[in-house]
Amino acid sequence: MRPKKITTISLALLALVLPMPLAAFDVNEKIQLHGFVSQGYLDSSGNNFLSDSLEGTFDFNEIGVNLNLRLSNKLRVGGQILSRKMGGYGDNHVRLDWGLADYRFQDWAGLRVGKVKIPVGLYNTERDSDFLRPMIFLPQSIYDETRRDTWLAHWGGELYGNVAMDAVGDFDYKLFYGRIKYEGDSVYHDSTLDNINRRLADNLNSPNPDPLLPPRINQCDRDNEYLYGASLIYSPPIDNLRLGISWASQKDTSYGDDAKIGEYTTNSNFVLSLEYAWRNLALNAEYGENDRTQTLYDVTTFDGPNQAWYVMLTYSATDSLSFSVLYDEYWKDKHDKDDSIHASGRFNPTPWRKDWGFGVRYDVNQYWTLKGEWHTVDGSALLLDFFNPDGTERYWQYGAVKASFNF
Amino acid sequence: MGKPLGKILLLLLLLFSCANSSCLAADEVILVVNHDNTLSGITWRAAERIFLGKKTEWTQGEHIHVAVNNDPEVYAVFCRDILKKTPLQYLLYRKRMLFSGAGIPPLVMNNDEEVKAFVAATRDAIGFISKDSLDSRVKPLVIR
Repeated sequence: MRPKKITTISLALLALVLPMPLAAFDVNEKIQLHGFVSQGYLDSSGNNFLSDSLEGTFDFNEIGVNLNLRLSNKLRVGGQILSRKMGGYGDNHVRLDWGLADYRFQDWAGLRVGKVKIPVGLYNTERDSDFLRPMIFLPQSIYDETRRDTWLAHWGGELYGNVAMDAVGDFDYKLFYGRIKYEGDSVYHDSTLDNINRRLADNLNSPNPDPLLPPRINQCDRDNEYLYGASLIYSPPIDNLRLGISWASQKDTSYGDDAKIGEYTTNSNFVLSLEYAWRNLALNAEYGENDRTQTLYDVTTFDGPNQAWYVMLTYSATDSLSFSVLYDEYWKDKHDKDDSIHASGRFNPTPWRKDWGFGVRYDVNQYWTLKGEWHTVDGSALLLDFFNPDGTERYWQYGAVKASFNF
Repeated sequence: MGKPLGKILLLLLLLFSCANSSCLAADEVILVVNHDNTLSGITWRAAERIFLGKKTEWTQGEHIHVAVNNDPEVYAVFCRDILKKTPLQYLLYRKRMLFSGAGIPPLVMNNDEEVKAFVAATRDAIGFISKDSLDSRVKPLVIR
């Protein structure tokens, strides 16, 4: 057994044996220490999803610990460290998930600075804590797990607040500006390098290769020049109804072997959100478009908006047992729903993803959550060639189970 | 359906066979504040916003110290009658606040006695207890 596996299992066992009342350290209102451990199993047929999942994998875990200190009634500092493993990535390295100072001037105005989660859609800020949502995976059309590192958190600040109007309801707003620091060992980084080298290989093998292009690159980097955006969540005077809109824009510069090779600009990424709970039923729906432009070696490799939406219905049979059904749809190009060219340059006859998902969640108690789900998918958009070097299949399935402990 | 579904169902069966369940009963709950609090009543919306962490100050600007009563019966009735949420929904709401970095959720007390002791000792505190356990240490706050 490898040392890293031993570490993971040991930490999980530690969580198991911690006496529950001692597990959370709410010393008082000023100091709070909390955390979570989760272990999952991911399997698929037809295509590899996020890892070499065709073989089935237990390399699917998260461990997080957060500490909050309330320095005064208006000032808080806090941070969360996260260790995760998804297939061959993450490798349970410990990283800062978020870390910030938060000053709340009034209920309607506050400021957070540091490493702050990006509020795209209703659920992006909580994507590392799977026990917070009905299903293990967030709907992939809006919350694409392969691009997790590009939309997780930014170094910068956000203005936030809650504006209440008794007769109308209340509004939660956030205005944010900052920069994203990309990790060099993410799946997105490695798949980008793989895609660039495929394109360079295609150039080399073409009848009239561009002599100015290198045969391949050995490393690539991506610098974020800026990220800014806003989110607004409206809670009308209707019980358990939330309506949201979020918008963001960013610009990245790509480097290959330290030379600039391209740019990636998110011109406009917006998400419209709806969340409603009535008795034992909960409805979640979001619609988004991400209008992006990508250039590589002075060639525009993509320019236009994608289209993403989903509807999820959850029925709570008891206070602790719920069942969810999800329909999730994604189109790589909103204006051209036929064949397209993948980022690697490969022809993709199915640039869409239509995902039916079925999930069950059981909350054993307030600390333990068990979940399972199964998905059947039509389309190969969002799948990485990187994990599927021999091509992808149009119809495929994936499923997962996960046990989570939090304190 | 293929290979994944069979494995997933098998693992689910194993996981759920280890689980247990609980049953929550109902009771009547009231909001309580410190005797030094000049308020005698509060709107239902304001009460909801306080326990959701959206309203953190009383009208005079004092910071509100919130106590959540974790007694299963009292907690369940409070969630359903005042917050209009299931107990799990409110639990996840508080955890969401914590794990996304949005804030520190309210302190959790184990029962009515702990809530009353906290509210009696903390001038700007608010909590909820079973109506039957109200005593002179704390002041009831009417929801208008």
